[in-house]
Amino acid sequence: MNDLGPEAQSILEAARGAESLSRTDRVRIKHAVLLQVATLGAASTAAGGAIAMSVATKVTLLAVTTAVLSGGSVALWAWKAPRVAAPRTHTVSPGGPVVAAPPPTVVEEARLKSLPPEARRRDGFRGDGRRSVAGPAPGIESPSESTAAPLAAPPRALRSPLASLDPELTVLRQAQEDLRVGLPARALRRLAEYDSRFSKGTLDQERRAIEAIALCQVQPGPAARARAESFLRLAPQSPLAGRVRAACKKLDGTAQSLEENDPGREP
Amino acid sequence: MTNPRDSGNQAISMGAPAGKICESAARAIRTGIPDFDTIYEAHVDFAWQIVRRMGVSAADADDVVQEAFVIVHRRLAAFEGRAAIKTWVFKILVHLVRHYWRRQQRRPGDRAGEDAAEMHTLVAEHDPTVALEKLEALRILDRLLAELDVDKREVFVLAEIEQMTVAEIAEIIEVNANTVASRLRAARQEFQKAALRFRTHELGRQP
Repeated sequence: MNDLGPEAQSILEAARGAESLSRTDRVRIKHAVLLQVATLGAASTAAGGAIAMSVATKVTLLAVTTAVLSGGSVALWAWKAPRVAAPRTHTVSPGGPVVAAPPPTVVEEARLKSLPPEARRRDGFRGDGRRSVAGPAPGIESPSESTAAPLAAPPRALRSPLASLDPELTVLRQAQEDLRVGLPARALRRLAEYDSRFSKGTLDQERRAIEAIALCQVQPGPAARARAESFLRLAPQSPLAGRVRAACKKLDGTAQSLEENDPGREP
Repeated sequence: MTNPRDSGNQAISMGAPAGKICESAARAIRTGIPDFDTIYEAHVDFAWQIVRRMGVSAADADDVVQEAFVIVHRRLAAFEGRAAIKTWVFKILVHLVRHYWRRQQRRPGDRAGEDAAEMHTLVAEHDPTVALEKLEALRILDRLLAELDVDKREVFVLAEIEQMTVAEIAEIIEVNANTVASRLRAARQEFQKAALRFRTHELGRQP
């Protein structure tokens, strides 16, 4: 039996579909997701080659990953961007539910990524953390005018905000490369170097993840397990959480607690 | 959706092996599990709604929705289709919202005022004539939802706003259906009382 009377029903009905994401928001959030996947956490999934994504997504990821590996800080910028520099443009629908906008094209995503700050603000992005009116971004190129080339070009406008993180990023990238080639002990030495150079580094969460993975590989035991569990408690939704779980799940007693911290478990 | 002809051109220009070109499409056909783009487009609005109505501020809802789809992206290859995609996505969202509130160490209702202020900012920048009514309706809804505790709010939002069945909610929040039904009954009664109080108060204010 439904205990809702007409007063409650009318309030629910009036608010139904009133708040919705603008098309720009949908593109922006998706872009941020793909960038996050493409940074440290993406290597393992991409290598598997089994992930179900469209060719359009693959092209975007390839471009983003290229930018990361070529030394740009764009991916990292975007990773932190939602809190720092990419305000949203939610819209309130005056006429009820909004019909889903067509999916963003690669060109649109690339364009948003490569726009200078002034142009992003023109398109509904503001630099002050407040939201602006939603609307279709003017001047978006049509797919027929597109080429893949601009995607890989380093978006210079986006490099500056976190340029100061480049030294930290370089050390962590080297440590991650050590893990990739099966040298976890060397990765740990890099992390010691990281600690001496960047006490309380901005990328501490990423550092902890790499440390947990390296420890689980080089000296599996209670210490490694504690580091892994500590990281997963701190950042269960991190893009690196899956890799930490994968690297450490063979340790006795760890598998179950790691699974419990996994929000992506299938019901 | 991506134009199949364009997709082929892009894949070829990337130098992808022919067998990889239709990998995601083939998997989608074989398993019936859609690719990431399709899932994102189909569920991002629902995801946004549910996160907002569960009391996450507009400023933080972005991050929660983003995290949810990062997880979806990472886990899609391993997703076996035992649950409906929507159920799976909502389960991830519910988990993240709970985690959000644990991190915030305060109840969802504590932020109702802040969000209302944000909405007024939005009104000032939007077509004020019709949008105001909708914004007001949202503000009232969020205020009443804030009177429910987290458990009741969760089931109420899923049932009354997302129109999910008790069985679906039970699967998402991982409690048995009887518990969901009893929480939902209590949530509806509380919401109804709050709505009545609100209307009475509103009538009293009218000249």
